[in-house]
Amino acid sequence: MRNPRSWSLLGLALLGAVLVGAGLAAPVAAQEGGGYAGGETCIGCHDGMSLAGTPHGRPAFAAQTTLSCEACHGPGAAHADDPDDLALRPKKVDSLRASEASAVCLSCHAGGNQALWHGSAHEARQVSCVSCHSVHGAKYGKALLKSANPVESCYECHRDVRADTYKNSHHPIREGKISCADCHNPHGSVGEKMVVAASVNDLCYSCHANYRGPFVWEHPPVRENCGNCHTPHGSNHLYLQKTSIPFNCQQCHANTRHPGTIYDGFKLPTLENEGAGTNRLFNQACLNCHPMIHGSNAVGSPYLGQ
Amino acid sequence: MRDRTILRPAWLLCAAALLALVAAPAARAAEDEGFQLHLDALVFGPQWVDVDSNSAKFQEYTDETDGFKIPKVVISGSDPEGKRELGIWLKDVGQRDARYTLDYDVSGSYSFFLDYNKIPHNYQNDATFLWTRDGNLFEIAAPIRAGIQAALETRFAASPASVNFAFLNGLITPYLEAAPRVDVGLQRDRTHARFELGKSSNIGWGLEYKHENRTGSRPLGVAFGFNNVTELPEPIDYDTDDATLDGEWRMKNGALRFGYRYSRFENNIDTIYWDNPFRATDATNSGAYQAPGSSSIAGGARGIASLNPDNSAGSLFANGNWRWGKKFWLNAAFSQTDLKQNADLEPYLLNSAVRTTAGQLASDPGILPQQTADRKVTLTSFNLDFGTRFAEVFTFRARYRSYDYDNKSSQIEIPGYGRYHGYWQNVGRITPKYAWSRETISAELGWEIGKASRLGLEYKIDSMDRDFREVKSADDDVVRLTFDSKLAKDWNLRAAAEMGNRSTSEYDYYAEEWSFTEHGVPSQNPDLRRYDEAERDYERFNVTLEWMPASGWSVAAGIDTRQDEYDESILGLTDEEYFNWNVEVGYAPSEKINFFLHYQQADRDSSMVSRQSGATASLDPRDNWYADFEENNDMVGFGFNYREKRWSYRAWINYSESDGFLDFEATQGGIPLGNRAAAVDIPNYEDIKLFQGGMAFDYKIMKNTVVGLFYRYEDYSIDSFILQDLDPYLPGALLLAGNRGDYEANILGATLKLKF
Repeated sequence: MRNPRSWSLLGLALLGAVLVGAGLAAPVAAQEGGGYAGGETCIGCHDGMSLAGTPHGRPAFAAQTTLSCEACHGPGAAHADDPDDLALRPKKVDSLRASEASAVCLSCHAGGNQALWHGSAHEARQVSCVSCHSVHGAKYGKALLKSANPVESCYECHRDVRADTYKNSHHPIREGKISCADCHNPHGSVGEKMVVAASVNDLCYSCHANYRGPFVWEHPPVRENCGNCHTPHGSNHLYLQKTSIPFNCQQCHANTRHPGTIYDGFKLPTLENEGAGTNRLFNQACLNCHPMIHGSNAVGSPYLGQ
Repeated sequence: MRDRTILRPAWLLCAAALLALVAAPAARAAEDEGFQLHLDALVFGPQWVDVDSNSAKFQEYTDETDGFKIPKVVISGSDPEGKRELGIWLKDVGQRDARYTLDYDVSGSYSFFLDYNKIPHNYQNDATFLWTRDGNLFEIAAPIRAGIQAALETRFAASPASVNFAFLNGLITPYLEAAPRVDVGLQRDRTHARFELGKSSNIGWGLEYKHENRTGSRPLGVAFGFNNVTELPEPIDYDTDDATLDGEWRMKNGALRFGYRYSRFENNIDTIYWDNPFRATDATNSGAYQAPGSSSIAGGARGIASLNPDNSAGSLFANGNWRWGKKFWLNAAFSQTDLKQNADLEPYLLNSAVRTTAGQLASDPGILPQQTADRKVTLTSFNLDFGTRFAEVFTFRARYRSYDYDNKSSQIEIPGYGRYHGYWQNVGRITPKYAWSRETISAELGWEIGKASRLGLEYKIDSMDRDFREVKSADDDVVRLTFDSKLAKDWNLRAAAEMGNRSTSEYDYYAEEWSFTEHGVPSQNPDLRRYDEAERDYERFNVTLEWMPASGWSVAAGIDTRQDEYDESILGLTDEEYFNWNVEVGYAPSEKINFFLHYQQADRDSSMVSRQSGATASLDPRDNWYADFEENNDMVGFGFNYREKRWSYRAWINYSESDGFLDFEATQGGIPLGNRAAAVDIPNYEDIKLFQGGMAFDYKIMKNTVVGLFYRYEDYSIDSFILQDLDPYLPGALLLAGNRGDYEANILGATLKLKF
């Protein structure tokens, strides 16, 4: 076993320190100059862009800034004076570099759910706020999403997940009872995979607290990661399993006698073959006898039975 | 058997809160003419459902029934300045899948959010249920069991070998035919309330409460032995409460968030007792775990099962983010969670005929080493990541993440245990203190090429340390290259390639002996490598291309692949491969009409090797058997929307098909095949088809009134190896065997939509 942590940490710290120094030493870009025309002037020409009736048209927005349209687009007085001069046009947010576009939104929305945007997987992959949200052309609610609902917004890129939700065993996503945002924060989170918890298991326990334990008899891979056996977005197998029981269990249990036995088609209880059928292959397979697979509180049940 | 919850205190509390909140602005409106409530939308109408089967899959998470429906109600309220706003959304009013949401916001001051979400989860309908349930006791009338036992004893005395499936089936079938049928399913009622104060000030506070009541039943396999599986509808009555108090201190260049969360899970039925269908009186012998059969007809008359126990989690958390100019940012997060569980422990078994080796009654709870579970775990997580931009176009980000699962539970040592309620197994066991910690260190260098492209290179070390498992420590080294670009005005490209290698410390196959008080030779095969611990290489590649070739057109296509190889694993999972490709086309020739089409194919192929053994672990590769799992999933969808001034029309279809195949191989002459010539494949490794289609027509008859018609069609079929040919009684198993199979459904409805 290598022990890379000490030198890795040291190396990263040194590299970080150098780069941080470089970053701090670099001059911050000068603020854009120019005069403000006022929101009413903008709406005078851009009449379809009014913020009335949207979250940005509310008093709380006005309380934050009096700049109206120019709070996001920058000063527009010069453009108002000479609308035909392309060089004087204020910035169009969705045409900016991703980091710059997000910076416009983050100038107000830097806290709460957006607090960990910097460092998030989306931020690193050039996804910006305007990739999913539209201030002027939103189709969905207060979140101002471009898509018809939050789940569709995620499917714009994560198309494989949509198909998973149509598999036989699935969380009720396609039925509209939970959404991606119940488990993930697309703006960044402390946990991996942008989950809204410190670990995958902590996330799963938020709904499945019955499996939280700690139990008298534990099943160690369960404690480490629910994803060892389950796939969260959809599966063809019972209980969102990656591979169907009994084989899901047999991939880790090749013990003497029944755990290592071949459970092939010969052992199925077909109508023609009822006598050869084994209860280790049909219905709940291993779980027919080992139901407390997530941990057992029966002190005399080391094999996670009842 | 589906338990219905009557009003519970939390329910009443929520209802009262809802009423109070609706009443508050209404009352204020009365005082202050400025605030007005307004019914924005009301949708209602009849629905007819025609389904050819009582399959639970038809309404797995929904409530699709005939009758008058109110799918949508929207109420809003505001004052003229828009400073106070109220929104109420009611969905599927009064149904088992209803959802009610309230949002009240006083601009810049405080807000309140309340959501009540009802989620059914149906497992199987018309299941055969031999028992009668009284609370946590599942009973079978004593005369019935006595009659069965007497018949068994007579038969066994005459000829033990004649106690076979045919005989047992004949004994139990008359009772099964007379048994009532039950639906097995859950109802989850979830409440979520959040109050936020000071949203626009430097310090904000949030108070959040979540409650879930889960009632009903779900299939639970329990057993009196290898030949006596007795599947029950486990009674579910859970209450889960979560309360969080959090604060956010906002500064010019960052923010600090902190809080405390307490979660409590309560299982109102944490122990069940159920009668053995084949025994009316307690009896024991060393073969009881195989009863009823040719070796024994002994066993316990009643079983006991400890279900998921009450538990709690208290979590203290803090995280902060800081930015220095446009060049540098830093995030840090810390949380510590204490998990506790101290439920009463139940006796080893109830069988009064069973005594321990020391001669004690095994059913006496007084002989347990302790009376309560006394389980404690502390979870500590720490996260630090920072990033910087330098030379204008380069970024560097690094992350350190640690998570520690510290098991503080006492080790419980037992001299033996009850084997399937029928026999004392004189094998001393001790609960291991499993614990683990994980550290992740990563660094990424990014290069922004031009205005719209970025190249990223990341290196990550993901390390695990474990106690009481086979592999004490493991490191995953991961390299990742990403490229994201707006290639041109109408082109977007996202691509990533990733390679990982997991190296481990020595694989200690003796580790499973930690749960025995006297260590011996493990029953596990020494050549097995558990895939979550095994050495592994993987490669992943994905690319997505989006293109808008002409006005109104959009095309997207993507590929996602991953391959895992466990080359060092002689037995266990040896490789796994995933390949997905998808394409999506949208066309909107005008503002009135748009079409969409999407197709996806996702294939998964994995392989495992195992080895069949007798009483001792085989070291002979001729006893190996091989399984190759293939899953091919296809999904296609098509639809269009058309909107005219007075009417709109939309139609869509969606078809998904999963085709699985399980290929077995074994060597002739080895233990797995015995006298057989070849292993038998399983062709229906979950073959599933789901067709869904629908159309909806809306016509505006007046300015604010729309009448509509909708129709939906669903056709579901499943051919599953594990569920095929299930009967209430099969060799060694008494099953619920309910309906969760094929169905074909037509749903027709009319709506009246009023917009005010």
